[in-house]
Amino acid sequence: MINVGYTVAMFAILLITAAVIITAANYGIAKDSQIAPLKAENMYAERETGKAQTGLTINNTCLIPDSSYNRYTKAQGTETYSGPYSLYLSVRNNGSTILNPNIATLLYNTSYINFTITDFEEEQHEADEVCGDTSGYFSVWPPLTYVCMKASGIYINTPDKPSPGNALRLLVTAENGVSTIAPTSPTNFTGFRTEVNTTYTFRWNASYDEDGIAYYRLYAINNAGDTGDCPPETYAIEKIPGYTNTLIFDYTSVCAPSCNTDYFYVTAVDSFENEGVQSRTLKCLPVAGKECEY
Amino acid sequence: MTGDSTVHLIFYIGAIMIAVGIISVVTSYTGYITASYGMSSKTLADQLRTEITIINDPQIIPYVSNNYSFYVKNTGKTTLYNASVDLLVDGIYIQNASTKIEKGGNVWYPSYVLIVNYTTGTRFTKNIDHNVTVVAENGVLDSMPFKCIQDAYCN
Repeated sequence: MINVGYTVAMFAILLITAAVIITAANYGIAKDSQIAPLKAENMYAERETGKAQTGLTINNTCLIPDSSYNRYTKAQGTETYSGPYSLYLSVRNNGSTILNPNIATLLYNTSYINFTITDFEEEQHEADEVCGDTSGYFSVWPPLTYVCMKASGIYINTPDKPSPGNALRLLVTAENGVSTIAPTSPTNFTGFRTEVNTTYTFRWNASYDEDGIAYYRLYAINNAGDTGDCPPETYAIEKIPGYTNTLIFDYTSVCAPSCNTDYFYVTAVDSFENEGVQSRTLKCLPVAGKECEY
Repeated sequence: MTGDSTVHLIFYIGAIMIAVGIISVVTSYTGYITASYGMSSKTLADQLRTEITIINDPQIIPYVSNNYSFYVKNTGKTTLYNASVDLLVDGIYIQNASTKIEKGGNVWYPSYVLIVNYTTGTRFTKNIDHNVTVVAENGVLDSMPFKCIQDAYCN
């Protein structure tokens, strides 16, 4: 007699065993296949959360002329631009994400600008308002700290154009794509000394920023020969409110304590405290009614 | 008996062969499905790791030598290649777009900036809204609305 039962039982056992092995193997493979997108989803969620927690502010900017050029020199002949300068900017990480400042991106006047992370202490300048408290932060940018970026070979327009759209603009982008834009530089900055020992009158065209201009900073410089500090050794930084419906600003500054030859420039600050690059620098002689040079 | 043993053996071998055949079919079929699933998972993971960001000032797109330049930063974790980037301006595919990695080379590493140039003899009209889209090799893209306001770069 054919032992059918024995054969069927063997056949069934073989099939069941094979089915169990195949199922277990595919379960393992499927599990592995799920891990990669899960990891990527976690990375994506972490990245989006990081972006939501990132914010930057260009806290201060300053130009220092290169050794062969004095920022107070009147533009010569047909020069279109003045410079070159080194541009320093202090950028604050306002968020709760740790960033790498070396892989941020800096655009100025629509051009990609190479920069280094520096420390003003190392550059042997006064650790002043620009880059004042950035010591030690070169490769890591913790939350609520500043880094100091330095870019060389920067030029600014000397014959200012009246349209704000032609003014210069800074844009800093972090490694995760979060960015901040500073206001445009004030253009057509002019001034004259109304009285020898008392006042000046300045005018400039309004800067532009999508978030509006909160105020302007007028820097009064009392050391003509000092090109080594950033900002220059000043005796006044006046704060002037920005109004969105006017283009030309009149501002009277009382010069004190000295009313010798003075130098001035103005920057714009937006509602997020981003400071733009300065206007041209005016040189004002101690003569009443005389227009300042630039 | 010898005859019964032979029959048993024949049936046994036959049962084994049928079982092996069924197992082979089932194995190859489930293996195919698993491989497909794995491939789509890898693609999804790759796309999730990839991110690009157009970092231009949306008010000022530089126009030099008949080229509008768009700066695109690799803000993801994936290495990309500049030759596989596509550009669309106002929804129109730009065939003659050229690319250049700011730091040189052909590899678009994370954090590197790619300059995508749109060559055109016609400048954008001032104060009109436009849109630019850059697409990376795996379909990840970024778009940015912009408006030309600079006299030097607009009509």
